[in-house]
Amino acid sequence: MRKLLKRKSKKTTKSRPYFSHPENHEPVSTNMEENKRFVEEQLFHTSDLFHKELTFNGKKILLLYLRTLVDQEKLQNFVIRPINRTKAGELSETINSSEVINTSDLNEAIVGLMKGHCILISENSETIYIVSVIANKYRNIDQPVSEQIIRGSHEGFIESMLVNLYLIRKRVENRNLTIKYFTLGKATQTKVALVYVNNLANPEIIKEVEKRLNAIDTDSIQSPGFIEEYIEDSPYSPFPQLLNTERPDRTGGHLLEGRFAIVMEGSPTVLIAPITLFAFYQSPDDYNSRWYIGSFFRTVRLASFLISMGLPAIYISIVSFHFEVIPIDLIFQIKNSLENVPFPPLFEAIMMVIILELLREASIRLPPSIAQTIGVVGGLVIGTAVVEASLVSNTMIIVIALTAISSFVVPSNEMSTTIRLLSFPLMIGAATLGFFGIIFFLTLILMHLCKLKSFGTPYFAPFAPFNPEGIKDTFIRLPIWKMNKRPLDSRPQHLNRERFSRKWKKNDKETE
Amino acid sequence: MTKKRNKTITKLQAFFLIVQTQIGVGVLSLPFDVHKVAQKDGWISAFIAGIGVQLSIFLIWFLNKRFPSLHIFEINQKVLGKWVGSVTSLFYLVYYFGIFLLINLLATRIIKTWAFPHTPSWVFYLIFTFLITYICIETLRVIARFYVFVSLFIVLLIAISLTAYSLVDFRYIFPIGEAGISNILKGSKQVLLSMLGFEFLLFLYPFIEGDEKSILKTATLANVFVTVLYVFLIFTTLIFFTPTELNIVPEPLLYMLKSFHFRVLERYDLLFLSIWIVSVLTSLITYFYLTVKGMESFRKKRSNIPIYMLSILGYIILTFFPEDPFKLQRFSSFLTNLSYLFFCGFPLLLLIVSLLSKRKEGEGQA
Repeated sequence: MRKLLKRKSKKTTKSRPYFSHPENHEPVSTNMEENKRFVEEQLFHTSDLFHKELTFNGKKILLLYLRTLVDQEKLQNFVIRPINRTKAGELSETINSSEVINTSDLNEAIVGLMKGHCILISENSETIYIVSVIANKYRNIDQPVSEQIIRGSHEGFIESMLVNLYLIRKRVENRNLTIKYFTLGKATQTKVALVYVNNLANPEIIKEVEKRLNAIDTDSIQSPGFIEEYIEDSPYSPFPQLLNTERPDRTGGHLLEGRFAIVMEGSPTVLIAPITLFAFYQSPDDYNSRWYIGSFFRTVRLASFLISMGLPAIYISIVSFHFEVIPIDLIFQIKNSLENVPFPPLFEAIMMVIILELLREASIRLPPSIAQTIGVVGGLVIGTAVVEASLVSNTMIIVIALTAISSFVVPSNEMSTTIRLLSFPLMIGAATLGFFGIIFFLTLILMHLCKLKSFGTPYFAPFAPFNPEGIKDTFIRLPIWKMNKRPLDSRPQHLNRERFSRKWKKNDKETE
Repeated sequence: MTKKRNKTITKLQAFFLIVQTQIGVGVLSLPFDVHKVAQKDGWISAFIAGIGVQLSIFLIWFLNKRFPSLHIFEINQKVLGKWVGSVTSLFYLVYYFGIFLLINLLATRIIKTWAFPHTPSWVFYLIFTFLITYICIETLRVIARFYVFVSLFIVLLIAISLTAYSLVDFRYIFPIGEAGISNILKGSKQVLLSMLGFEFLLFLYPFIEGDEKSILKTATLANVFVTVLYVFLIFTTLIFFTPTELNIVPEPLLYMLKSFHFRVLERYDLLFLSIWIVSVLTSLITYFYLTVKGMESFRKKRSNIPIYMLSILGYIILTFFPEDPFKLQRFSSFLTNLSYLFFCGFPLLLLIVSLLSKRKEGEGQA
């Protein structure tokens, strides 16, 4: 065993990444043409590398840029026109841009080109000017489709990290809001930002996530899912350990509970951690409506957790083992519908669940007009025909339909998939050992939840470890003025968040 | 010098660790066993047993107070020296493992008689072993969190039992004290066996947050809770069944629940059994965990491999255990008689030796 471990550790020795950017300093030559040739060679004579010759102070200036990354209008207004107009003076003062860097390193200039900057090489000069003229092409700030709410903010994150950070900063106007940039992926050079509130987030957790982010050694980061899999605590757990959201209000709320967010360039999804199971069942809607209503919907959602995981299993165990549990009149009804079905209940259930998943998967990728047809064909035609052909019993259809609907109640897509996945082993347990099979498997899940950690904090808080204060915001939502303390699970530096906001009430009484 | 152990579990967690260990396989047959001896005064026996347990808790507390950062396996070595202490630790280890096997056997027998007469026992042993190993490779804190959460089920058990009160006759327990003092005392011995698990304190003590007094308070509260629960359960069955009925129902609680019918749900006993399984699991986890910790006290390095080996060994022994109820009975009574030695005899011995040799924590080892 020990030998095996040793061998493993040997394997992980670093190999030289072939995508790394050359870090050596490539001095700018005084010969303009030579510089141009170097840049062209480094970029392998790519066709979108454009150049233009200008004259300034009577000297020739070569303007180089990547046509695909640069905003033509900006280039025209901020660089070319001022140079053509002034003709003489200091070059860096002539250019109308806030971001002008001068360098004597050609490699740095090439990195600038890749970022959407243009570079200016002057004749007989060892300084290169890098000017940001990047094209900002992104969609409008829309309501996120996967996380719609009825009342409250309809803003959603988009594919630009800068805009996303702007949305967060606007929500949390505080000097403690800290943003740290990371560049991940040797080939893609993906920009990633770690956002947290400095005087709230636990410094140990922040140190830990920085360590994990810095450890990422890969060619490409395509989506936040990559980062998630690199930094989560238990990669083999079925439960998501980072919360994915596209909502700035949700992100802001979590930041102020002492958590951190990871924003990635090119994705509207923001990762939030450390998180608990119950955070997946919270929706901004809960806080926008009255607290009775919020609590009611929370309870409904958590009931949906149990229904979507356990209902098919309970049904299977009742019809295959414990018919005596249900009242006698109901037994006749169910027996009646089972009469002509030749398959065991487990097979029925799995067949229906697979049909359901097929329909769901098919309708996701179809345009909405065709997806409706799928709904009609799948839901109505298959649903009734399958019963008439006595392949599946009536009650099983009800059970599976209920299960599907309740799994869609979860505000987080990952969690809803996790739960539907967990219902399979539960069904198998029910089909082999009845209620006991269900209990055994639920116990296993419970043990797993008690073990699970999200960045060192317990995942199943506030139930395990039990914390009565934290329950105020789990399956119920008490009035905001009752929640005086931040949740304990993220171990924030300051616990108090609300003091005596309704003190006017006391004053009112006194004046009456 | 021993290094300072960090106190990892809260008092609430310690409370439920002890309570959940105590409530286990014995609950179902407890009223029957007590009724056999103490007749209608079984509930008094439960009170007396509670007092007995309290005395033992005092003893354990006095012992552990002298070694506030050591658990039983370390105290053994500290007080009795390296060799004798190791042998004593080994006894404890084997005893805990034996109890673990016994609970496995008893629980499986009850599941088989009540729900799955045709399923082979090894299926249940396998499931139990798997679940227990899965959590026992974790720290005490994780186990404590699990125990606190599943204690929700105790409330459910009490709620289900409360439904019996629509059909009771209080006259069944009168006249009080008819069985005679000696029978009541004998009955309390039966209850004591169902209360086993409080000796978990021997191991738990150094891990609990708080000073000595609050630990004693926690242990006492746990004992009071379990005693009151047992008195309640015995009392309920005594007034539900007629005395002659009670003589022929080995698991009175289940028979009682089986007789209820409601509009939405019938057969409460199945529901009760399914929940009861979790309580049994917690007792199993405790004893397996204690065995594991006992093993670890012999070796310096911590690794999961011995835990897996132990669970495989346990599984093999369980599958080869003869399915003869009388042999099981003999094994059971042998272990339960032996248990006095472990929750009372050895602690007393250790306390006396440590008092005589004036050995306390922090002093050099002999």
